[in-house]
Amino acid sequence: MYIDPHIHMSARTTDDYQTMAEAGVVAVIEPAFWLGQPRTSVDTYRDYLASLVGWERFRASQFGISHYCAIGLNSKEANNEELAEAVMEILPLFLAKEGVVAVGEIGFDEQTALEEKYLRAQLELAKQFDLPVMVHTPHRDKVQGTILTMDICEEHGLDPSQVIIDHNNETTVKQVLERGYWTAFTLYPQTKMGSERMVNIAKEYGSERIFIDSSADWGVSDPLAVPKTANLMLQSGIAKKDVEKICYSNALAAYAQSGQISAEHWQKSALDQSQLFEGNSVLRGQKPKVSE
Amino acid sequence: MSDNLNSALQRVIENTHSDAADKLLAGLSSLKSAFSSQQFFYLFAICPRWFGKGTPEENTDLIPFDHYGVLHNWSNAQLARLFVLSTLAQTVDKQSYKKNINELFKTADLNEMVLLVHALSFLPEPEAFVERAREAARSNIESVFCALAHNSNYASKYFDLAGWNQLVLKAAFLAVPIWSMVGLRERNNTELVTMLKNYAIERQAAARTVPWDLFCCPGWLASSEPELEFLVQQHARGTNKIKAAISMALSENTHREAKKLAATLAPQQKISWQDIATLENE
Repeated sequence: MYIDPHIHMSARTTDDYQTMAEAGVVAVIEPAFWLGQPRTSVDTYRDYLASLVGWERFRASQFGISHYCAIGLNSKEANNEELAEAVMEILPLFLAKEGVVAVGEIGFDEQTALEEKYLRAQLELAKQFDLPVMVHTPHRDKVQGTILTMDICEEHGLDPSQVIIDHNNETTVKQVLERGYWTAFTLYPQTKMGSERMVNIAKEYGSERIFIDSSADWGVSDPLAVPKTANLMLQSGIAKKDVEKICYSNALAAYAQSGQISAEHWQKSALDQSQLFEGNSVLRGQKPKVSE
Repeated sequence: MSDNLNSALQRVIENTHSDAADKLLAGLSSLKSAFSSQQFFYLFAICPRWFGKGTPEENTDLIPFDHYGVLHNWSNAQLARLFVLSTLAQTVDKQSYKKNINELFKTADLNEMVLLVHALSFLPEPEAFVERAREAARSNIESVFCALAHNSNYASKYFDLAGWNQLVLKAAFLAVPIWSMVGLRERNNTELVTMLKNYAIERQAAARTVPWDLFCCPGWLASSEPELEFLVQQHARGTNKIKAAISMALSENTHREAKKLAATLAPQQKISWQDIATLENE
């Protein structure tokens, strides 16, 4: 059983859902992000957030996967102040909804003043709604950006146990772990972290507060990164209980602080697509898959 | 919504979950003194977190308002949400009421959408939300569609001909019950019958199954020879359920020829639509 705690399913196909379910992924967390090009209106942003708590949850459920999301204003679009102000106004409409497990993904891209302003404002929202925070660390000037983000979180009185720092690598892992944060790694096929590097990190740092995700989106990415890396870890001699923590239970524990995600959700509901068969727009009359 | 349903809802949630109800009432009363959409949206969204998944210990107060047995199965959180909506109607003017309800539809998660669609039957100014209901009737999310199509007279009361016909056709498309839709017989019409017949023919051409209860509508209205002949053919090739549905609908048809045909097809049929729905589909 695996959880992919950071994946942008709206950018993926039903084939992905199917192969993920077959590979043992039981739950996904989809953080709000940008769409590859900037949005020009709060209305499209609202529709996007509504799809994360609506249609995408339904789509995932048809493949027996429990879908959760994080709601936030991403760092890139935080630089459009007019849009950002309007988005900040609608975020509270979504943060109390069912299946919303965090404020996220938020943090820095270019580390501008506007990015910092909206990061701070959203940390306050997380406190107000009693939700964990999913932090996107920058791909450029990563170490400085990561340290700055942690400093700001602490300045706002957040406990590190409420914050997940994502997209870590060899240069950030030590400090993030030492400061008590959940330390997440994104496994991209070509950039950021690869599975082999992750195995080495797990060997060096163990499994406390560490977990992995695919961050699969519309770019070159692999929605099976979590199960594949789990297999590689097992083959490399990492103990099963550690693999289980890194690929399932640590992410669950981190986001369960929201009260919105629980193993009961996927243990109780046996998959039965046949109820949704016939003319449905996702399955389109294909033979439904029913769990045994 | 009458004040009475509002106070009945208040009694039910207070009786089962007084702490949460106190918090909710405090929030709603602050809306009455100074209305803010943000606060209203928050109160609507937060109900499941405050009220949990439990159901009321006692909900008989709701029976007089619950003509189709919807509220009977609702959790405290769902009832609390309906209470929030009904209180909005008493708090702001009509324009603001409509605007805020429409905003809720725009940002709804799955469970909220199902609840909002159900709520249309219980709220004041129902005809102001026909377009929201039409969107639900286009939904591929079965629970949203069924919230409108079943156990509710909203569509039969407020949908125009095109809207009603598309609703029934979509029920056939989603393979959810048609026979139990409120107002099916009263709103039956020749255009709908043509659409359903064409749908059946299209499915059969692709060797796919046809929902048995689609045949209610043509059966109730058939009078001419080609119409009756179509049903004879469908009866001959149909499953047990389809055969029973065609005979039943013809027996309820007011035309003499249709009744005669019903007697020929199933001379001893003493059965209800509910009985047919539970037959094996062979």
